Amino acid sequence: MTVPPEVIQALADIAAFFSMYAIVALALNLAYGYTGVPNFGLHMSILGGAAITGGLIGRILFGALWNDVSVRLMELGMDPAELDFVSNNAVIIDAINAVIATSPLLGIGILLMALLVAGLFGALLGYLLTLPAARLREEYLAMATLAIAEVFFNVLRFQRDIIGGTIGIQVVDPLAWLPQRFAVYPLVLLGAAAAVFLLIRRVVNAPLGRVLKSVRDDDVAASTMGHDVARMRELSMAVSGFIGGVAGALWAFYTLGINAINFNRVLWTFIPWLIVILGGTANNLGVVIGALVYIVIRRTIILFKDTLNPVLPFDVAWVEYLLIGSLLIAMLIFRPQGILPERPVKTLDRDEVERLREESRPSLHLDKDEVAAR
Amino acid sequence: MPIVDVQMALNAVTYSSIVALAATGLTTTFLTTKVPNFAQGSFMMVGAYTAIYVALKWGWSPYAALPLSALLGTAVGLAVYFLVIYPLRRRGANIMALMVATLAVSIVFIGVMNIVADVFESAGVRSRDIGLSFLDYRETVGPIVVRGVYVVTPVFAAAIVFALYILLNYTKIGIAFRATVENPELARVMGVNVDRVMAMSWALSGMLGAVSGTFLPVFLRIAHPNIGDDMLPTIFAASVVGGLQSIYGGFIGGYIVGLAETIVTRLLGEVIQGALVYRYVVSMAIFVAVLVFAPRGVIGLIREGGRKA
Repeated sequence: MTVPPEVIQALADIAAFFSMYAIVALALNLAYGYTGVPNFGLHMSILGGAAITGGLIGRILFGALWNDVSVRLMELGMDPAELDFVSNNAVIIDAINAVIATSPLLGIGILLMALLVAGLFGALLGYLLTLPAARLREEYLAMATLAIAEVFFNVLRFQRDIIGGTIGIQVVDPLAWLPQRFAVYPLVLLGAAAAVFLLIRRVVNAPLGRVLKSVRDDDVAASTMGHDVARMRELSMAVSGFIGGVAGALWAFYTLGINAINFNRVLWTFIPWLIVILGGTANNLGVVIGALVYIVIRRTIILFKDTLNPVLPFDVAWVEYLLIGSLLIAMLIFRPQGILPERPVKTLDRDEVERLREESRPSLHLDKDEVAAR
Repeated sequence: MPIVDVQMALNAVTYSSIVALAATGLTTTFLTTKVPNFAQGSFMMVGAYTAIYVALKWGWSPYAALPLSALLGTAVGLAVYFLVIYPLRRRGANIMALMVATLAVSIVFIGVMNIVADVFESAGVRSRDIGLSFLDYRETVGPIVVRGVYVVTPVFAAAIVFALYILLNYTKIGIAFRATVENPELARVMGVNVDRVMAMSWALSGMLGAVSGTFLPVFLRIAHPNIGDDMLPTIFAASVVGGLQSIYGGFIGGYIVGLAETIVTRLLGEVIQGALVYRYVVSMAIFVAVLVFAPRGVIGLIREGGRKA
């Protein structure tokens, strides 16, 4: 039995969207749900990661693979030295992809490298957003983060030399050697989402997670207990930004072409906020469920598009915004804690605690060896 | 040719007046409810699409849409208050919950306005990527094209501020408004119906947003259903730069940010090649600088300066 290609395409699309929104919402949950930083500039880290992938990694590869790439370009009758990375983007990326297609190892190396660099850049951007945090109250900080992110967004949107401005640029395909990459890559995304989930669960269940929560609940009390509140916020936002940057890179490798306009505040900050509030702040599983609910609403509407659109005087796709917005308002009023509410802090089992206490208790009696030594 | 010519100044002042009106609306609700309203841009779209419908379907002047947009804007403002803000406040929601709720309202409006635009289109009213500037009165004086919107918008903005001044200083509801802003608990004790004042502030905010939005398609050559949302950061910037502590802050900030976006960008364009596209970068940079160095805005600076002296 063979599965029709459009079904695979649809499944791949669902998997990709779901993993992306799960990753991004988990990152936001770490910053807002656990640490209480109202980050309305999340799309900056995501765009930053995508821009690193498209603008920097592409250029580096153009230089690093110069010999192989220029041979292919010359075969096409072009002088590689004359080509501009942005203006002649399509041919250059095609040539690079042709080189990657011959070497899986190179492709995987590029993928990992891009994710790392994009993550680090995203972390830097996330850290940048916390700079005004010490001076501002929640609602002002929310506006400040939004404004900073909008500066970054507008520069990339209009500055042609970075990622092609309003036209956008193509992204190298690190899986060019894989014929079924369109079916396989969403699995990579799902794996990445699972990894992020486990990472964040590890962080928030560690003592560090309890410190972050204390910063969120009462920063004065937290600083009285000796915790550096500003450092904790910076750390949380940097980790959140790192994940955002990785998400941007992963998404760029999925779409294989980026344009700043597709990384706007509605898609990558406002919708993730809705998902986090919907799923449950400070509950990672809840946030993943929130992302799932969003995708289900979205796909259900797309499913009915063909039957309803000829009948209705408007495009059904817009109902998605209507539904998700109304759903969120209803949730805020009737169930503000979200689908899954926040759980109490996870601690070790009682037996475990007592065993550890027993082990770490200083012995009052000398061991036989020590007696002998005297 | 001088860098700043008359034509440009006219454009700049008109744009600033639109921003100032919308920002005054944002400030009004911030003063009473203490929440930055992410749906302020949505209120503008209500006005913009009323103007488009009135002008293209009924063939009236777009300015004739002003009373209708004011009415619709008031209704939308009240609807947002009674359906979203009031139930949340009654359940003791904090500022973050209220803020996310206004965010959700703006998301709902993305859907609603696009559906409205689609329905208009199928009713034969062109409503995507259409401006109404071709319907405006225009007079050519030498090299300058004077459009009706250059006169109507600033005059209207000034009239609104004057009306607000009268309302706040010489009417009972205005004094109740100021009392609520100053200290809600005390105002309640003194017999002010705080809920009614809040409802009024949301109605006023919806009206101001819709009115400023009415001028938008007349001023711009192209309007689309997300045009108000696109202006949201600018409106935030205007309110904060002017100062969120005073209702006139939005007005002052509107002109500072509006003029900065147009004239400063133009001046930068003379120095740096291709800086013209960075108008939002200029306003956002001012916004961030004000937030970090003087979060109380221009009005706050004036007041603090007065206190020290």
